[in-house]
Amino acid sequence: MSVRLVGVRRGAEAAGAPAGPGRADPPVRSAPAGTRAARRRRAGDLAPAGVFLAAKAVLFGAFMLFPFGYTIYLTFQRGSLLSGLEFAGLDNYRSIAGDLLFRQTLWNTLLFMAVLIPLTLVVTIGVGLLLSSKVRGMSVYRSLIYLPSLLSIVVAGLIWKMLIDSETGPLERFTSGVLHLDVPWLTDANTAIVFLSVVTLWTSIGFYSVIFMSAFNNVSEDLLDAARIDGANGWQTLTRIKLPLIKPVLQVVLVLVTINAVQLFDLIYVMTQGGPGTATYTAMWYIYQNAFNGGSVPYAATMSMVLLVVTAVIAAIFVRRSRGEESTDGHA
Amino acid sequence: MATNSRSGGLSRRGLLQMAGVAGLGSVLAACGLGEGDKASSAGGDLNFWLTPNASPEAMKAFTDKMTTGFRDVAKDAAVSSLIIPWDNALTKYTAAFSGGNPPDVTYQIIPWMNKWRSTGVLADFKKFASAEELASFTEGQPESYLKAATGDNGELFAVPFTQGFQPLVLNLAVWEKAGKPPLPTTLAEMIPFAEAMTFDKKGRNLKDAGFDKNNVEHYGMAWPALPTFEDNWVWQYFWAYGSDYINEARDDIGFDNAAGREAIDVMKRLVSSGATTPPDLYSDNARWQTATVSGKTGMQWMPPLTEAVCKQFPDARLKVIDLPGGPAGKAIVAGCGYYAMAAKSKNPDLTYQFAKFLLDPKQSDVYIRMILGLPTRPVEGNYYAEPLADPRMNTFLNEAAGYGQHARATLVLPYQPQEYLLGKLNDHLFGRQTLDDMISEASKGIKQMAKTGK
Amino acid sequence: MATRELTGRRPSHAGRLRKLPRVLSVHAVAIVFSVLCAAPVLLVVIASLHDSVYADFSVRVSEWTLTNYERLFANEVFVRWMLNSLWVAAAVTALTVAVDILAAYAFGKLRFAGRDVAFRTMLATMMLPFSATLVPVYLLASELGMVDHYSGLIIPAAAGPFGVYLLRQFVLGIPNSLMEAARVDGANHWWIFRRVVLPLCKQPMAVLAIFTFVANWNSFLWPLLMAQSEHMMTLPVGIATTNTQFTQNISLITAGAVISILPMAVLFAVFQRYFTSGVLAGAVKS
Repeated sequence: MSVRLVGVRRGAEAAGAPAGPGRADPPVRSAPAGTRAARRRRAGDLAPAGVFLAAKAVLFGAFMLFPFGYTIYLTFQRGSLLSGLEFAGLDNYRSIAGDLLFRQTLWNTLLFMAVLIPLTLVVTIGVGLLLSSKVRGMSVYRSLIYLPSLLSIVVAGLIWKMLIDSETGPLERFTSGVLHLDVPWLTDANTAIVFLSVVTLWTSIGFYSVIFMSAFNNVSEDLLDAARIDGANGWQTLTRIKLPLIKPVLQVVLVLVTINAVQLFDLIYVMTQGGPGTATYTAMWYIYQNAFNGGSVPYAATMSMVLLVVTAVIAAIFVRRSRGEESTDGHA
Repeated sequence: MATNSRSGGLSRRGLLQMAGVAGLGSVLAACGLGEGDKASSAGGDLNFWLTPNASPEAMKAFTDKMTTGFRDVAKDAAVSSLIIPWDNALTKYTAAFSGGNPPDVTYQIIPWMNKWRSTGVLADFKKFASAEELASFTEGQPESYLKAATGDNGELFAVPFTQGFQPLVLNLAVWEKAGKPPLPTTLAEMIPFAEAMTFDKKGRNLKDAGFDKNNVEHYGMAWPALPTFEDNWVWQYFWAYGSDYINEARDDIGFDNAAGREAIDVMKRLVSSGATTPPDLYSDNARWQTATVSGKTGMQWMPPLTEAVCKQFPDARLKVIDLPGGPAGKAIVAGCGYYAMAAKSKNPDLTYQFAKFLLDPKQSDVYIRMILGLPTRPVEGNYYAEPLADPRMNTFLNEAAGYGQHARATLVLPYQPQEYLLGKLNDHLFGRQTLDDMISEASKGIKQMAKTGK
Repeated sequence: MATRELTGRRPSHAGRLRKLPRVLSVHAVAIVFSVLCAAPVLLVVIASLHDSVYADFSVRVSEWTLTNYERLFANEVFVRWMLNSLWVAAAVTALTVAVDILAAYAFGKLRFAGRDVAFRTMLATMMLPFSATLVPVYLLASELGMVDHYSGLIIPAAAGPFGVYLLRQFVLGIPNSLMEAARVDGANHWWIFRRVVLPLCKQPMAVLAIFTFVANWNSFLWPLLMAQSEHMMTLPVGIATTNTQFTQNISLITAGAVISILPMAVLFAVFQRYFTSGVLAGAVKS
């Protein structure tokens, strides 16, 4: 999917469209790009590329690519890193196919996605829209809304657990004392999933909203004015003009939220430890348990690969779907 | 894009210099600036890792004492200690033992020994110890504790030295308020007993008309539904009913039988009686552990009373109740602490000396008394005869001493099912799954674990 | 936006009045969201100002005290954790930005065999669950002798692909004509990088720096594995290490949490324009 994300940009490069800083067009001197020169450059560029890439190549190679490759290697092994490995062929993959527990954790993960993704998109687009409206004092609101995005998950978990404490927690006191609601925050399976999603949203609302805010700010005023003259109301300008125009941003946020939803781990670690019962045993939590708290590391590696493929497929569906729609929108 | 301010910010040269300096700076950082106060000496360095079983201050005082004490044995040895939170300990241990630089001496418990026993990451005490020393490590130790530390070829990978359990503790004030109902002698009798001690803020009992379950003053019993807590007492329900959490063949659950179902039924009836705490009562562990001391609950399976808790609740009156049993007798989950040595230690002989030093009763008693535990070997007379910081601590520990004869260790397995099983049990206890569904899923899960854990 | 002020119709007095309900409702909604987002943090600040064993959120100012903070700052180790956090986050940031802008230039403006494959592979690793790679990374770091050294805390943390992705988008946006011009004048790649690319990528680099800093300041699991001695721990690890079931004092822990938030809040206040600059949105705008 990420491939496609990048694909979006390539057209722009070809067209020489200045993005980002390129907008402040610098003085351009004549640039005769002869084919011979171009060919010479193509051949000669490998060396400088190496110079520029060397540092990242070493870092990435050692601490991302090597572990990635090692993980793939592990999926065909059995045993443990501690006592030694032996070749196991496709046994791990076969085990996964029959592992009901893993299937269940995948299902829990999907539940999280079903709650978290729409919730995050609706709220952060809404808040992004809000922040992009030209009203005095918006920067104060923006700062306050951004605040939770500066916290570590450890601190965020600590905060929310304190808030729902049934003796001293202000939130619990409010819901039970004022609203007379007995909210089973983390003790009911469904509530726990929703509550964890809300806390996840809380920790990311500033980040995504600001992205949407800038995307909305980039929408040309002329276009909006034209729409207004045509008699479009607020909702119509949003759905027909603004949203189609920010589709690339939407795509990226969608993919980021998806990755976060699939890999939801920190908050579970801090807040529920998989509970109540096994209700928040997500795939990531199960993998972690297997890799570190017993079970087998090769098996955990195999599940990671499956999870990677699942993520990639879901992300690809999202991106392709919205790209498909984009083309029907024509000029957008 | 927001405005592209060319005026503000740095000049090109400045930026370039900054990048250069930054790169250089980080390389320098990588080379170890400011890491200098690491202890190092000619006598060799040792790393000693343990998990907190007492307050951070007490743990620090203990490790400092061991470090200085060991210098009398090995003059130049420098021991650096690390106390790792329970939540992260296994992750950190796993990573460290997988790497080339594992901690030389570690504190271990049975579930972790299950993980290391057949991996070769721990050193065999038998390779270092003389016959006499070996006898001092093993003689008089409970069989089950040794078994958890014994390798496939008879190696001794760790030496047990301390044990502890969480006895059933009663808050006398709540008990008196309830009219001193007779103390429970069986696990089943704990249910009406807990009910008798449950009152709302207006003083109505759970069984009275108009009882307000949203404003409870005292619950009869504390039941924090988190694996870290339940691991200390859920298993004894199975044992008391003549069942177990894993079967004899070690490849499936052990409670899919009449006895096991009865044990679960007793737990289920207790937690759904309304006399136990809601599982989300407290958000922090400390308050769960003092629920009964504070009077929020009438009773609970409770870790030893510490000095800090005594100071915090100067008026609390507590009593350890005789262990209630079941049809198959009485049993209490016993935790056992070990010291182990890393096989890949850079300094094996010094490591052995340090382990031997720590296991010497003179030193191990320091640890055991700090965590208010008991030695693994039978004690002559009263282990806590000397007055502790608060007389209630002595009473508590002496009343609990009778539990020792019923102590039973968790299973020796090649995988660790406990956390998962507690999750599944809670699925049923707190109403997410019927008993049959839970049992069938738990069985599949354990079979999977047994298969991949091989 | 500038365009609006120049070309937009200036609202009349009556127009402004007509807009009043809309403006008010915008304020109302914004206030609701601001409170929802900021109130929990504020409550923790309040809790940290109480010297109590349990979390206490009462707003009786007369009871407030700085005892918890005094206790923390009197603790030598705690100060060391803060310095470690600052040092590690700053070093990771510097390393990440420096390395990533170089790579971004190569990926964005140079042609070489396997460029697209390499770049896509990098991006794909963003989706890899960390639990799959944690042990191998640790193994390697431990082989390289990085455990319990700053190098172990810093270097592996700068390996991620995000920065390259972000910066490459901006490098791509630099008109080729600019570079061609320089090439014709005989400039080499290094000169182009320094004189053309760096100045034009100032803003995204600042944005990357800030996000890297925040992320690493808050990072937990990796420093937990890497730091073995107390004096090598970072703040989140240190807080977690003292937050055991044997610590009774919740308010002390909240004070630690507030201290961990504070530098980020200051950073945000000073560099707000980078946080909200839209560079991230710009990176994906086509």
